[in-house]
Amino acid sequence: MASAHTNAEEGVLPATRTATLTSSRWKEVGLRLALYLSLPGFLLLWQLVSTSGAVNRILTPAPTDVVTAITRAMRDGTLLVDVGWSVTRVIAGYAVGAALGIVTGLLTARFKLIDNLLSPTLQTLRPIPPIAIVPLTIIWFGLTEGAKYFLIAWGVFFVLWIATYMGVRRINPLLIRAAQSLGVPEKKMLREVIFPGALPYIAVGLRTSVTIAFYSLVAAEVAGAFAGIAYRVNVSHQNMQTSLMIGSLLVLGLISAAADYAFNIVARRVVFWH
Amino acid sequence: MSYGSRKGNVELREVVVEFDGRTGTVRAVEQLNLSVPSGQFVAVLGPSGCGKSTLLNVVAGFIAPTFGEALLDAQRIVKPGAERGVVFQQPTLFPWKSVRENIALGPRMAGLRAAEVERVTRHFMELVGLTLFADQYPDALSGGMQQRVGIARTLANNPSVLLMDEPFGALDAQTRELMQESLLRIWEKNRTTLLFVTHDIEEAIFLADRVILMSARPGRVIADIAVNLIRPRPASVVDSAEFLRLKKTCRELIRTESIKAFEEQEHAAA
Repeated sequence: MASAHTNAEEGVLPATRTATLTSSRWKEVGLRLALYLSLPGFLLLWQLVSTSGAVNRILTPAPTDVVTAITRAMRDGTLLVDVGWSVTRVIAGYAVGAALGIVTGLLTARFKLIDNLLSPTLQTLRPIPPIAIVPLTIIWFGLTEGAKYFLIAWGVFFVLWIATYMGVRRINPLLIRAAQSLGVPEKKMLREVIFPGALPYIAVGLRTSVTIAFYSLVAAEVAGAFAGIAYRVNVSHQNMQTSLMIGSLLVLGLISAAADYAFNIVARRVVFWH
Repeated sequence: MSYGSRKGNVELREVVVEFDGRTGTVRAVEQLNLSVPSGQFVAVLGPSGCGKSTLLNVVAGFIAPTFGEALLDAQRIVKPGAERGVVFQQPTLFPWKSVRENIALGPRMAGLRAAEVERVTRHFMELVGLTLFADQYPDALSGGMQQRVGIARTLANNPSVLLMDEPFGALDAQTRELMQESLLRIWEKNRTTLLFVTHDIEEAIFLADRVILMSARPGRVIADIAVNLIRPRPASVVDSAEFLRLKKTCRELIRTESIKAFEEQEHAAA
């Protein structure tokens, strides 16, 4: 009786297991397919909708129209000029904002007097979205490149200030004691312990602020510029060049994503111990 | 008072350390007097929370005594310094520096020339058997290896006093024994003054020339026991009659003290 029961169970078990394995393999294939079909599927759907006549093709151009518009912009050189201006602005504003943010972060975290002197003011200014100060930058700097650098630097500065400050504060205090006992003088502490100790946080701040820099870039270029990729988006809107506008948006996204990707790789190499 | 030509004489005079706790001022160390001559290996033994680490932190210069003073070679200790090397319970290596760079930091800060830094670093890596790991980063090392780097890093500074705060406390039993033996081997070669904090009776007797027994908080010295076991000290010394006698003495003293502390706590709670 007991043995018959066992046999019956044994007979059932392998079959069940096979069935499960097969269905899980199909599931995996399905999941993969969904992943690979996502983008082509979306483009195809978009193409079909735009060319079907159900929508106005000037307002909703097809992917092929976008490609045509961007190819034209590439050929006549305007795309390269726009990208050049935008990338220059991001790099300049980012570099200034990041450098000032890191230095301010190190100083406020290390010296109580500087902390008390600066932090209340900076904390008051920090929550103001960079976009909101666009009009002010125009009053101060006009439609100059300086205005754009300032706006981008502004957003980046606060992210790095906070990131560096937190990074310094979270250094294991025993590491500082160890360094003191090994004879590291106060003036070398920054280089030997504080800066590398805060670096993992600074790296996160540097990466986060790439996105912030691009937000600010859009705000700056839309408000008033004579070239630039976000400027192109704005102008093509006014000229009803919807294909060029969508194409420019995609280029902007691509540059931003590439910058983020590059930063991630660099950060992993610099902060290799984390 | 006259000091010999050798450095590393530690003197604590009427040291009191108080902390601001949640329930007011807490006295961690109570009027402590201690004199450690140059070249002596002293184990500071006591239950957890008895202020033995506080004592070490005073000599290291991390905390200032509330009353009294701590002296090294008749100089008042006011801040941390390279002549007092510290090995912490956790290895506290710089994770962004390789084994070589961690050990080289002290000599580099002392202003040695690059070739000399390299020579000293190599010597101490050899001493703790980590030459093959010179370019590894701390994360890649086991706890025992990390602590060996911590010890080598401190020794590379040629300090006149070594301060060790339960350095093997976080290691497993086997590694711990090996580390104790290799510490003895290293110390017996250069005989630096060594203050070694531990709550392990056997460890204290096995390593030290002298065991300072501390009471529960507030920490006072309740016994000062000379350990006259042979040097160089073999691992088998733990089976000797003298070792067992010392162990018994320490255990009984600690037991009496613990019971007293426990009763006081009960009394305070009631």
